[in-house]
Amino acid sequence: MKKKTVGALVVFTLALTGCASGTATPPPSVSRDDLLVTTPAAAGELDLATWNLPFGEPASLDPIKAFNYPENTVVANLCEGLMQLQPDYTIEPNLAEKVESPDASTYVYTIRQGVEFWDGETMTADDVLYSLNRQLDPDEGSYWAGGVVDNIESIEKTGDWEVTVTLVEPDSTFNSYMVTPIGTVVQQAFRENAGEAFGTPAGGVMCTGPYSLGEWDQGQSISLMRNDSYWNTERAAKTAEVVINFIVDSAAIANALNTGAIDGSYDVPLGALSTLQNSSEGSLLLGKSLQLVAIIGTGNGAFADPAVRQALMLATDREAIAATVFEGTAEASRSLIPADGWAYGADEFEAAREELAPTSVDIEAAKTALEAATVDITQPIKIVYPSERTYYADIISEIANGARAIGLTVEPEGIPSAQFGAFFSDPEAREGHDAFVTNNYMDVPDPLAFLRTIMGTGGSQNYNGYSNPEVDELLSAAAAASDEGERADILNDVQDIAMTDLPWIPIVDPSVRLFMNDRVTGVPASFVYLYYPWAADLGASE
Amino acid sequence: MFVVRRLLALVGVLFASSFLVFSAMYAAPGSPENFLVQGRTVTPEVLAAIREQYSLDDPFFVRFWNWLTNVLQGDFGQSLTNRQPVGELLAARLPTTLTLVLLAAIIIAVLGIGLGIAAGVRDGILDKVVLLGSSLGFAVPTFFAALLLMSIFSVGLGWFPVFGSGEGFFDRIWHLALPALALALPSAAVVARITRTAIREERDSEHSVMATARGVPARIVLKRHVVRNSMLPVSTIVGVHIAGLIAGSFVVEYAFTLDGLGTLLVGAVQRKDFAVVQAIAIILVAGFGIINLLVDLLYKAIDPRVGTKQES
Repeated sequence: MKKKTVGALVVFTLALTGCASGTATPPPSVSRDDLLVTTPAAAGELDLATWNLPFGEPASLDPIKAFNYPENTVVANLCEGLMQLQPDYTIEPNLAEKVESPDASTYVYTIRQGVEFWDGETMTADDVLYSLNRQLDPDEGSYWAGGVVDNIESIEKTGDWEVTVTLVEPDSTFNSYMVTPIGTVVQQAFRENAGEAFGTPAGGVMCTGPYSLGEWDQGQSISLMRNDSYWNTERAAKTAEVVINFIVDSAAIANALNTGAIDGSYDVPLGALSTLQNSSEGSLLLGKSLQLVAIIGTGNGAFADPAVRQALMLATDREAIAATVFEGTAEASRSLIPADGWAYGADEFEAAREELAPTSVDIEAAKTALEAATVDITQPIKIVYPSERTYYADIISEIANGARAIGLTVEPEGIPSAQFGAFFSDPEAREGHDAFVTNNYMDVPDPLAFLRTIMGTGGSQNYNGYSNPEVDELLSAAAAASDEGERADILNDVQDIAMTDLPWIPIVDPSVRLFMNDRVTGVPASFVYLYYPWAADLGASE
Repeated sequence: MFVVRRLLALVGVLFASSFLVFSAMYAAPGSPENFLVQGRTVTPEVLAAIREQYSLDDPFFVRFWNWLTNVLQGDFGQSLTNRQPVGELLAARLPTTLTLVLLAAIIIAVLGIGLGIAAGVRDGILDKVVLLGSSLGFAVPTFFAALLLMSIFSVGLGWFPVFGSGEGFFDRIWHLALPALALALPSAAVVARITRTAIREERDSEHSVMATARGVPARIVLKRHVVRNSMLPVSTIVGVHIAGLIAGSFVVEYAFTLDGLGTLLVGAVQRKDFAVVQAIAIILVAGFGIINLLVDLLYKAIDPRVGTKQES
C-alpha cells in the first residue's frame, strides 16, 4: 500500500515538473548557422526585470576580482572598459575615444571626455591610469595578474586625456583585453576611501556603467539601478531596475523560469533544459559561444602520450555527447579553437577549420594512432571531474566506451569542487592524476590569446608542460603580426599542430543557452555577457 | 544552579567543538587561496599576498589562538571569500533560518502532537490515516518533499512563490511556509507516531484505569493523566527534532533557494572559509544546547519530580 502511494506520487511529480524522460519533442540539434548573436530588440521600457546567475552569487564586485561567470556577468553592467566587446565579437572604443597603436608594443588611448561616475564626478585620465595600474600592484591582488598583465612594461599618462601602455614583448591581442576587467575603470577616490570593503556589499564600487549598484541582499539578489545620467545616451538602459538572483539548483531554476518568477538567465543548467524547452512562458535560445568542454592532460600516466590522446579523441563519440549530455545544445568540437572564436580573419579561420579531421568516430584510425604509443597502455587513465557536476561523469563514461573499443581503460574520478579548483592553479593538486575536465571559455574572441595559454611554453593554462619551439615561434610571430589575415594564417598553423599534439582533447563547443520570458527581449545571445552590458539592452517585447 | 551548571557545560562544549571544527577544516585537502582565485591561474605573488593578508601561513595553534582571542573580544573575523566581517554576513542570514526553524517547530508541535493525540485517544479511521500518513511522512526525504510541495503548490497551483525568502513579516511567512512544511514533515511524522504510542500506553496504565474506575469523567482523565504523562517522552523527542532542524535546514534552503545559514555553511566549507564555518558551527552547537536546556526546563514544568532529582 505504502509503496503504491509513493509510486503514484513520483509519477505525479514527474508529470508536474516535466522531468519525465522520453518526452515527445526531440531535442533540437544545433547547427552553427542557426546560432543567434542577438535577440529581437526591445520594443519598450520596463520598470523591473529579474534575471538569474546559475553559477551562484558573486564573491566580489571589484572588477579586478571578477574572473568568472557570476562576477563578470554582474560587473559587465556596472563598470566599463576602455574598449567594449560587441555581440558580434567586434571590439569598439568605449571609455577610450580611440586607440592608436604605432606598433604591437605601444597602445595610446585617448580618454573620452564628459564621462561621469554614478556620483556625478567626472572621469579623468588619472582615474584611468590608477585603474590600469591596479593590475600591477600585488597588494591589490588582481586575479588578472600574470599573462597579459605580466607583459606590461609601463602605463603612463602622456597627455591631459591620454594614457599610453608600453609592452615588454609585442602583443597584437593586448587591445582586445581592454574589454575585460584589465581595461576597466573605477573611481580612484572611491576605491581609496573604501579600503578593504571595496567590492563587498558594504563597500560597493563606483563606476561609469549604464547601471549603478542598488541593494545587494546577500544570498538572495543584487539590484541594478538605471544610471539616468549615463554618458552614452544611445545605449541607455531600457529597464529601470534589474534584480539578479543566485539560484543554482537546476530544478529550482527550471521552476523559477517556467513560472515566470524570473524573466531570464544565461547558460541555464543542463538539468533544466527538458523543462525549459517546452515552456509556455518563454523560449530557450541558443547563441554563438566561446566556450569549450575539453579534457586537459596533466603530463602523467598513459594520457601523457600524444598518440594515446589522438586515439582517445578518434574513438570517442563526441557527437553523441553533444546530442545526449548537452541535449543538442552543443556541437562536437572540430578544433581546440571554439567555433566562431575569432573577431578577425573569419575567412582564413573558416577555411582552415574545414580542412581539419571530421568529428565522427573512427575506431580503425584510433587503433592505428594507438600503435604509435610508446607508453604502457594497459594502465588505466583516470580523468578527474568535480563530482557535483554529474554531466561530466556522463561525458567521461562516453569517453570510456570509446576507449574500451580500442583496448584502453578510462575511469572517472570525482572529487569535491572545492578541491577541483586547485587543479587549475596548484601543480601539487594535479600530482598523481592523469587528466581533468574543463568547461573553458576564451577571455576574448582571439585564437592567439587562447592558444598561447594552452600551448605556449609556460602558458597559464599549459598544464602538461607542453613545449614546442616551433609553436612558440609561431605564437610570437602571430603576436607581432599587425595584419589580421596574416595573423590568422599563422594561427591556423598552430591549430594544425594543436590537433595533432592535442595538449587538450576538445570534446564539445557548448552554445549559449539563453532562456527568456516572452515579455522581455533585447539581450545579446552570444557569449559577450561577461564583458558587455547586456542588461542595458533588456526591455519589453511589446 | 541547574541552569548555570548547564550553561557552563555548554561553554565547554562550544570550546571543544570549535577546536574540532577548526582542526577538521585545517586538515581537509585544498587551500583557500586556490579556491578564491576560482581555478584561474594567477601569479605566485598574488597568492602569497592573499596568504599573508589572511595569515594562512601561521602555524595551526597560532591561528586557533588568534581566532579564539578575537572571538572572546566579540570579533568573529573576516570571510575569506567576501572580505566581509562574519558578523555582518550572519546577520543577513540569521533571520531566514530562525524564521524557518521556528515555523517548522510550530508545525512539528501542533501537527505532530495534535495528530498523535487525536489518533491515540480513539481507534478508528482517523487513527489509521495518521498511522499511514506518519509512515509516509517519515519515508519521504526532505528534499523530495520540497520538490513535491514546490511542484504542486508553487509551479502547479501558483499559490506560493518558487524561490526567495521574502521581505517583511507576512511576505516572509508566505515565502517560508512550504519550506517549513517540507522541513517539518519527517519530524512531525515521528512526533505523531510517538505521541500516539505514548497516549495509548498511558491510557492503559494503572492510574488511568483506576481513575476511570473511580468514576472520574473521561475528559479529565484524558487531560490530567493520559496527555500530561505522555508529554514526557514526547517533549524529549520534540526537543531533539527541533534542535536538529537548524542543521537540517540546509537541504530545504538549497531546494527553495533561501538565503539562510545552511547554504552559507555549505558554501563556506567548500571554500575553506574558516571564520564563517567556525561562527556557524558555534551557532549550531549553541542552538542545540540551548534548545535542549529549554526542553529539560519544560520537563521540570511537566513533571516536578525531575527537578527534585537534580537537587538531591
